[in-house]
Amino acid sequence: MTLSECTLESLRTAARSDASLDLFSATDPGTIERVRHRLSPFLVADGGRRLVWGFAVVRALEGEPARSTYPILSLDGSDTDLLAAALRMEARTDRYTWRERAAVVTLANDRAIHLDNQTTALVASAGDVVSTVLRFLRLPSFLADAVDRERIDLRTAEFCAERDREALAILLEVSEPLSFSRRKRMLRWYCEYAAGNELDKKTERERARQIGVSPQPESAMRLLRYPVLSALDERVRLFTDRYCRGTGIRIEPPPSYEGDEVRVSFGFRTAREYAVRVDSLSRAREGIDDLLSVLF
Amino acid sequence: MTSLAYYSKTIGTLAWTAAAADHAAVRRARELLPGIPHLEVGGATDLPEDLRTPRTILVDRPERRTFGRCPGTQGHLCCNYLTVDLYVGCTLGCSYCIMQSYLRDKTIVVQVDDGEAIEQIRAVARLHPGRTVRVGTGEVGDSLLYDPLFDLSRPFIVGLADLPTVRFELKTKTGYVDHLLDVENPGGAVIAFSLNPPEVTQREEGYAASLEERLAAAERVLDAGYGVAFHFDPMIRIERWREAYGDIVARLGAFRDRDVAWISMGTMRFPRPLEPYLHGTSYEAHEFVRSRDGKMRYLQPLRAEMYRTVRSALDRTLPGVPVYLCMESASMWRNVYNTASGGQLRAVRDVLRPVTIQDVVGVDR
Repeated sequence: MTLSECTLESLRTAARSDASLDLFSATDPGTIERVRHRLSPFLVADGGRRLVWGFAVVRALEGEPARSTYPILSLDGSDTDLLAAALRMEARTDRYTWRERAAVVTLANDRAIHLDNQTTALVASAGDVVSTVLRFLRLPSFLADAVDRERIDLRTAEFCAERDREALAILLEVSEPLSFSRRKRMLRWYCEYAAGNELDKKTERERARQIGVSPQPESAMRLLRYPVLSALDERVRLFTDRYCRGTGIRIEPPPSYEGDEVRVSFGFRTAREYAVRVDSLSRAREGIDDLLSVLF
Repeated sequence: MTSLAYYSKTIGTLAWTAAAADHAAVRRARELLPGIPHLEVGGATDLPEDLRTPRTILVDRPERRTFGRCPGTQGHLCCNYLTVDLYVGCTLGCSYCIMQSYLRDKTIVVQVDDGEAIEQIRAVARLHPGRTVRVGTGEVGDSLLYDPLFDLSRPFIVGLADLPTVRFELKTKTGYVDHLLDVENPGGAVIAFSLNPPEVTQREEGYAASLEERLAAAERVLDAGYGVAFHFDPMIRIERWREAYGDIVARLGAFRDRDVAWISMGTMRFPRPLEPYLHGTSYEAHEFVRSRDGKMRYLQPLRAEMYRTVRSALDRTLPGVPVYLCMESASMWRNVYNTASGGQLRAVRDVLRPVTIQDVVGVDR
C-alpha cells in the first residue's frame, strides 16, 4: 500500500477500465463528493490502472478546475480485498440503499469475487446481505423501487408481488403520507383482501381506485379487509355518540371484543356532577342490549 | 392412499438409535419397508445433517418418557388431557398446523415405549378411582399416521383395556385403523377423527384422508369394539360454513346410539408469528384478532355463532354425547352453553374434570 499522487486524467482513464470496481454509479455527485477529494485519497490498484474507490468524486470533478495531481493510495491484494477496501473507504455500513447493496452483490457475482462475512458486514452489520439482495432482485421493478426508496420493506414487497401493478401504484401513492408501519399495514391488508377474495386484475384496479378517491384511504381499506370488526367499531361509535358524548362517561368494550364485560368509567368532583353522570347512564340503558350484542 | 403407499412416497430414510435398535417397532418397520434406505446412529444427535428432514424417520428410545398434560393456553379453559408423545412431527402438511412452522425441516421422531408410560397411566387411574382419565398420543403428531408401520399404540390399548375409567385416545386425520381392528378387547380406547368439510380437507389438509375415508374408518373401529370421538378442529369459516358443517353433523347421524365418547369444537387459531404461513390459504383474508392469550382467532361473535350453530345441530343429531370447546375462554363457554341442559353440562364436566398426576409421575401442571 503506497500513498502517492496522479493526474485527474489518469484517474478518469482508470475509472473507464472494465476491471474497475464502479459500485455506486447511482450516487449523486453532490457537494460532499466535490469536496471529498480534498480529504480522502483515491484508491487504485494495478499500478493505477484500476480505480477501486472514488468514482463519484471523479464524476463530481467534471467541470471543476483541475488540480495538477490528486492523492492516490495504491493497493495490492485480491478482488475481495479491494472490494473490502472500497467499502471501508465508503464507510456507510447500514446506510446503503437496496440498489447499492444489489450493486455490490451483482459485481461480486459477475467478477467471481468471494463475498465473505467480513466484507458483507461492511455493507450491513446484521442479516444475510446476499440472500436479501437476491430476494430484492427478484421483485418486480416498481416494487424494488418502492423498497429502494424505503416506502415499504422487503417482506411487504414480496407479499405484494403477485398483485396488480396499477392497483399497487395507486395504493403506494395514497399511502405516501402515512407512517412507514401504517403504509406497510395498509398494503398487507390490501394484499390479503385481494388474495383472499381472489380478485381479478380489473377488480383489483377498481377497488384500488375506490380506496384512492376515499377521503380516508386507510379507513376505507380497513373496512374492506375487516368488515365485521369495522361494523362492531361503528356500532360502538354510534352508541357512544348517542349516549356518552359530552357526558364525561367512557364506554370500553374488551380489547378485540374478546370477553363478556363492557367497562364504564367516569369521574366527578361534586354530588351534582355525580347525579348528572348517573342520569346519563340511566338514559343509556335503552341502548345497552344492543351494545352488549357486539360481543356475541 | 394406503399407508404403505404413503410411506413409499414420503419416507426417504428409516433411522434408529442404538438404544432403540432391538425394539420390535424397528424390526417391524424394516420388514414392511424393505426397500427404503436405513441406518443406525449412536444417538439422535448423530444423525447426519443432510438427513435431518421430514423425509427421515428416526426411531429413538427416550431415557425418560415424555408424559404430561396438553399445555392448553393461558386464560382459556383446558380439557385436561394427558399426553404421551409417541410420534413427534407430521408430514400430512395441513396448512393451518402449528407444526408447519416449528417442526418444519425436522426429522419425524418415533419414541418407542417399554411399558413405562402404560404403568404411569395405570397409576393415575388407581389414584382417582371412578374418575375418567383421558390420555392420548396426538399432541405433537398424528396418532395413527405412522402407527401401521411401528404398531406402538397396540400395547397401550391392550395394557389399559382392563381399566374402565381410562379413555386412551388416538387422534387422527387418516383412515389408518385397520392394523388395530384385531385387538380382542380394546377396553376404553377411543379413536378420534378430526372433521372438516371436503372443501377444507381438499384444499388445506395436504395428504390427510377424505371425510368419507375418515367416517368409514370410524365405522370400522366401532364395529371392532372401540369408542370413537370427533374433533371439529380447526373449524374454518368458509363461505358456506353453516351448510358445510351442517352436512357433516347430518352424516354423524349414522353414529347415533353408538359409542361416541365425545366431540370437541375449536375454531381456527394460530400464534401471531405463524401469520406469514397463511399466505395462499383459503382463510388468508378471514378476520382474525388477537385473543387474550396472544393467539389470533376469529372475532368472538363469529366464533360464538359457529359454536352455537354446530353445537345445536350436534345436540339434535347425537343427543347425550358430550360436546366441549377446545382452548376457549370462560366467557365463550358461558355464551355457548347458556341454554345447555343439566345433563349436557354434567356430561361435559366429566370429560373436562382434571385428574392429578404429579404425585404419581412427577409431572407438574
